[in-house]
Amino acid sequence: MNFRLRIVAWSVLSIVLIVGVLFGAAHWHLDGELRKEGRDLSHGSHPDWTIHGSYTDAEVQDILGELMTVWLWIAVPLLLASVGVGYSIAVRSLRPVRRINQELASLNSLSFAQGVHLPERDAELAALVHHINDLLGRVGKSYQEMAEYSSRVAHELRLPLTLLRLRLEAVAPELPPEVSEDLQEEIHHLSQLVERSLLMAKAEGGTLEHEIQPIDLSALLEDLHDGYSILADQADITLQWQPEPGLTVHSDPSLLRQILHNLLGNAIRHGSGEIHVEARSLDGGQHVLLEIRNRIAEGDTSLLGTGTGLRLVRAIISTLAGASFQTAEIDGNYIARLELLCCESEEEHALTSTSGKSDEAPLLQNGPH
Amino acid sequence: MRILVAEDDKKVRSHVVGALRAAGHAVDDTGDGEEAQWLLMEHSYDAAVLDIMMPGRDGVRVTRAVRAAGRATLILLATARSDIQDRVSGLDAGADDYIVKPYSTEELLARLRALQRRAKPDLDPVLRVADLEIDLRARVARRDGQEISLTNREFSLLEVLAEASPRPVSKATLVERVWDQHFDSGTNVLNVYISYLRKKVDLPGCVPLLQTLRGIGFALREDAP
Repeated sequence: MNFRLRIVAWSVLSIVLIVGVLFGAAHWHLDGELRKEGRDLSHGSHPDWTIHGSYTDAEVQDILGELMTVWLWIAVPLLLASVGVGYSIAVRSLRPVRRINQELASLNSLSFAQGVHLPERDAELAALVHHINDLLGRVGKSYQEMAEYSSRVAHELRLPLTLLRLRLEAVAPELPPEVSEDLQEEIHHLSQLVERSLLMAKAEGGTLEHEIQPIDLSALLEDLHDGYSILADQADITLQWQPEPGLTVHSDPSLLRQILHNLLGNAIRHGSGEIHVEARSLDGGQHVLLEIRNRIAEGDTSLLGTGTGLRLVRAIISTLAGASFQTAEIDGNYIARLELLCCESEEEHALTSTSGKSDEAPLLQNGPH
Repeated sequence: MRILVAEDDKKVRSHVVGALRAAGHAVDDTGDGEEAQWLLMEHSYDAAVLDIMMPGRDGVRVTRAVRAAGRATLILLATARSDIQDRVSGLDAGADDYIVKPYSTEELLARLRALQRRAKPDLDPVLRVADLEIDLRARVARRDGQEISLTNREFSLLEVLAEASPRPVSKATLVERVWDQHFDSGTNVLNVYISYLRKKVDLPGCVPLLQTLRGIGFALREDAP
């Protein structure tokens, strides 16, 4: 039973108890008085002075029955009123808690420092809000420090990576070919890892900059198609590529490429059988929906949130106005859905959105980070 | 080209200077911003590779001073920072391009060649390797006078290899320049494209130009030098 129902139940039970006690007391007292009235009484000094009883037992039962009926007529509306009053008290009492919940739900790594606010003065809740804000402040500070540290480390790593790359190029002809190729590939991977870490640190630390512009999404997907077709062939995967033509979105080209590479790369690496890539217009042209569906390869749990790829996608998406990203696992299929703002609706959205997140209800449950 | 390299890290500077010299350029170098500015004011360089974070004076300030003095030296800023604001401030100061670490020798050389071509539009836009001609302006390739039908991606791959010819280009550099840095494909996709290109460029009866150098990368050249 939730808290609101408990308050209503408490209110109703209180009224029932009070009414019941009053009724019981009245019934007991009246019963006693009427039965006393029903007995013959004689004067102590003059036994012949007698007052004959006014009520028979049947009359007493009849009067008490009448009383019960009247009580019931009063009690039923009283009970209904108590339910209403109880519900109203519950809703009013829990309003600040609901508001705190809403504010907490809207917080992300960029807005921890804002904390939550309580307009009503309530000592109990004020203490709770104070502790929540204190905790959020510490979490936000840790987050910021972690993002700054990652960013600093990533920057620092670029110099030795440059040196490694230049030195390896210079000595490559003298190395055994397989060693040289392995080293080149590892340096390339390391460079990508550094770039991704830096991007994630910036996105989660709120310092990611955008170059928002109209992007022909259909052309971009077409550009990516040939590379992923080859990778899919090699992984024995069928790629069902079905984006609508002429889709244009408002986004950052480099960040959007990074997002698409992460999602498509994940699908190829962890999928099996068929991968469906669909893109279509949504909400009468307000958004574009990109959906990637694949069967999860047996025993592979990487898509369920342990990798950094999806975390990076979520971090980037949280900084793009009008964009949203959801994932779900349904019957062994993994579904990634990316919503992007269309060019035409970007201006309108900029006027209404301040959070950088979609106002729409999630289409699917959010997967774990 | 006569090039100035200003980079405070000695090891990186030494490798960049070595690579540029190996590519046939005359190179001076310094690890100090003020010295870099003095060299650029006193001598005539075709191009300069300036690190942004340098002791004495940073690369952006050096660029601004050089431009204020009316020098037209091509300036390529190199940095470990990739923020848009950094890039904008460098380009606003008058730099011609911006390269982010970690870069490869070939990427650095390609940027310098692109700057040179931009500065001298009358340069021949056709790259030639033996009887292979690549017209960068018309985006057309011909072998022995016969036009080769190439996709955009194949043309880009051929262009990168031809620009570097006869030097080889590493697989990582090819993936970064022809696809993009976020594409985590390993070398599988590149190998497939090289085989497509080889079938179109090295036709039966022609001298093979597209060479695989194991452990190094690919090169477009008639024979190993």
